[in-house]
Amino acid sequence: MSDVLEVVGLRTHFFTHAGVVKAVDGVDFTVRKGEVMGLVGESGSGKSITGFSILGLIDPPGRIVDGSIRFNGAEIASAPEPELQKLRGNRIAMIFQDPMMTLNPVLRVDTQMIEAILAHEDIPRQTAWERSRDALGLVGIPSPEERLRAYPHQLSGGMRQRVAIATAFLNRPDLIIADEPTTALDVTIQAQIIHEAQKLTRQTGTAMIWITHDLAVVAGLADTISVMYAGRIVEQGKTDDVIDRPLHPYTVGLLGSVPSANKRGQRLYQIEGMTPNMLAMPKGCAFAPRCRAAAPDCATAPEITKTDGRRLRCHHPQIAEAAT
Amino acid sequence: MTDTIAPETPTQTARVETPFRRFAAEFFESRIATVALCLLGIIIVLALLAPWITPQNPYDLAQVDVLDGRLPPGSEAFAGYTMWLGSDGSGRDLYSAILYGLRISLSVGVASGIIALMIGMAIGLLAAYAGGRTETIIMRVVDLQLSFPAALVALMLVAILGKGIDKIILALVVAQWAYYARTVRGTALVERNKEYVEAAQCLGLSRLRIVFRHILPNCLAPLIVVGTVQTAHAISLEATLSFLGVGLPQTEPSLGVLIANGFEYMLSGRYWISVFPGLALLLTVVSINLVGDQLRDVLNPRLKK
Repeated sequence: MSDVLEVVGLRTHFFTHAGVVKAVDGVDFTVRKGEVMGLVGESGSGKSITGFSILGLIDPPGRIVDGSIRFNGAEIASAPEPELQKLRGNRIAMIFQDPMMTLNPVLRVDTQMIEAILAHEDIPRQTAWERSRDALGLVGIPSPEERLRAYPHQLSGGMRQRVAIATAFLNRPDLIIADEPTTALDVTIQAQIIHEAQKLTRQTGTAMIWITHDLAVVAGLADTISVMYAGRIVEQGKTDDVIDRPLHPYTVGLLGSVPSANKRGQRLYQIEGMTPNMLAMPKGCAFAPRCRAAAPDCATAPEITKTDGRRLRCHHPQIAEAAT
Repeated sequence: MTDTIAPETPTQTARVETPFRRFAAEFFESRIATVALCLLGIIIVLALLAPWITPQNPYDLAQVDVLDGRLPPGSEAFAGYTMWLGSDGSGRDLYSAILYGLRISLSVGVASGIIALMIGMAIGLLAAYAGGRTETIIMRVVDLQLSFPAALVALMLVAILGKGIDKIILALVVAQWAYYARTVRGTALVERNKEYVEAAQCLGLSRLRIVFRHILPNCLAPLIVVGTVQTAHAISLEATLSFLGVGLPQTEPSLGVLIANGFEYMLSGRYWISVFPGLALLLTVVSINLVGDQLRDVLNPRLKK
């Protein structure tokens, strides 16, 4: 399978008055055609900024300071705005967290979908309308003709997120970045949306980056998982490997804090402390102050190490105690 | 899966709830606003139909007889019709003159309102869209303009430009564009940071398209409110200028001119020459303002119960 996206050493920093915030500080990953990558981390770990960096939508005072983003073999980290505009919505699409906010409240669904097509293709309105209708049908919206005439406020949250997903798939993109698309939805709708997204990536061969803080969501959906902490990838590997044998203490902690049936009655594991202040990062390993396995050598920052297709940034990999 | 979705279909009801229908229903909840809107409608219709429902054309000097001057309400004119509201000093039937005056007052108010809205909207959007130094300069000019009373700005301009409808409209536009610019810029700044704008960027839409197709329609609600209130303001401003004698000429009497004409007779008991045009002006401005207030209540989600 060919690589759709290859990110190497991406650094996106924000130059604020209070200091430089290293929101993304050396992130590498590749996404192949038809593959779903789960990008997991707490709030503020830099996962959304990674997504926006790929789209070239980092507003000042933020800037991509280093690294390369290769999309279908072409470098886009330094591409000029008009070129990026041609990619956005066309080759790379985005799905956002809150479907209540991402549709323009004063425009009808058909207006917004047709606009998304006509921005990239010179085809008759009627054809664009038909394609929008088919796209809505594809994500499981009943009577799509009627829904097209609706305003966003007439649709429920789940329905709106389906519209957003249909819009993302409209131009048959090569890559979709989904930024916590199910967080604002209730669990049953969440399951349906994940199902639709998975089905569509399989059908169309679209690669997907699924950004989330919920390992449980990604476990059943993603092919590979990258765990981010404080702007860096701390662990990366095939989903089954990462879930079954987590190596980084942070991943172990995240997995331990997911409620599951075989721990009934016990207290859920909790990672102590808070994400570090981005302006005053701990020296050495950023996770060390919260880490159970922290040792004196954690005062030097661990480098990424690579073993059997897995990448890890830790001096003290956890092996035996995966199922804490 | 269809089962879970079936209850979520509001469009199955016979009448589709468009934003406009919801808005209209909320607007008519207030009785005062409904009355004001009806009154405003009647005033506009009367003004539009003036040539067909008045006995005299006050602009046509052949129809105005000086011998009819200063007749009290209900007197019979020389030409045979009854002057229900009396006549002014030059023998104009006040009922006819008021309706013709309303035409001028309303069209000056609306025309200057629309032009000022267009200009202010464009400048405000430009400020919000460009940001940085351009925005600072534009907004300081707006501040400067707003620190002068609108009446003073208009008065100075008309004094320089001279009389005439076009000059009055120009003066009113200059006096008022800044209100629109400030409103649009404020709302556009809020809208610009909303997620749908980010989503539109992610669809690869051009910046101009995002500004005009996505941000602008979301700024319209406060603009409509400001536009209504400013139109009422423009009408009374025009009347003020005409009353002071720098507005419209005697031959094209607007309400302000009529009020000024009667002013000298007030103390001699001939109240009608000023009072009836004054009442017409009052009703017009108050009804527009009441409609504007209700629009603000309906369109501003923060004021909703």
